[in-house]
Amino acid sequence: MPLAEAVKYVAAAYGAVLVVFVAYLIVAGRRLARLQRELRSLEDEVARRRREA
Amino acid sequence: MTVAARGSSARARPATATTVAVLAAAAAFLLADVLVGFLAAPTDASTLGFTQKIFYVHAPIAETALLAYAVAFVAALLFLRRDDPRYDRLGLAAVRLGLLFSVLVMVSGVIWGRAAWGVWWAWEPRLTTFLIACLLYAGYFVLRGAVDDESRRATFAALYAIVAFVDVPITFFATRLLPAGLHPVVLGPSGSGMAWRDLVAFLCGTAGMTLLFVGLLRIEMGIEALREGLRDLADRLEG
Repeated sequence: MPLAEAVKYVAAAYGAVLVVFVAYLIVAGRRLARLQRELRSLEDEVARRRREA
Repeated sequence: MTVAARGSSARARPATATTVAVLAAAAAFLLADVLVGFLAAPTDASTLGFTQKIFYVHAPIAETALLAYAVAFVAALLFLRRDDPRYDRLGLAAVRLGLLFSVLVMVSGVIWGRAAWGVWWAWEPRLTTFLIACLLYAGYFVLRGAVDDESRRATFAALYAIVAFVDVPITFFATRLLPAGLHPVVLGPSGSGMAWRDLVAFLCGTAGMTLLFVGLLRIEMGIEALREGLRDLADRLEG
């Protein structure tokens, strides 16, 4: 296989690995952000109950 | 911030520092993998030519995927023996990362297959058994999503992880048991057959991917522990 064509395959393989991995990081980041929202919501609820008490 | 929260934060700091150190070591090994693989290792003299460079990322990812499933298997056994939810979290995190690494190996593999064999896909032993592993472990999440009760979900998931693991040694040994396939045996009884610079790149890649797995596993387990803690807290507030 000519070097120029081989380079495209190598770049595609390494690039695809990077893209999938970045996609995973984005999904994991969203999961974490959702948990942080839940945490804030629970903190608000605790604070509200304390005020009422 | 409450005293309890401060204590929790103080405990979390060394754990976070360890995770960062593990991920930094992973990055260093992976950088060494790419540098040695591209700059020092000789270009393959066979028909693979320059496309052989894909090996330095593809093979370590594949081994890490199988390692992740092995961790899930051990976690499942420990969960069934000790009924400790930490092992359920470990199993869940390991399967999630195993699936991530499996997707990575399939993606890099089909591109390399097209370059090396002229086809995107071949129903040969290693590819087929790896695809079966991907489908089996995707089913793990379907199972977890289908069971509401936490205890039953963890038990069923552990049993499923043990059964699914049957495919992992078959995948690993597929090239040895059925040598007629397209995949070569990388590490056989007579050594690797690789030039030493190839071997250095491969070992750096394997160390880097393994450390990356360990770092991500710690993060995933932390996220799962946080999720469970929040769920418990929400239940107590509602109750």
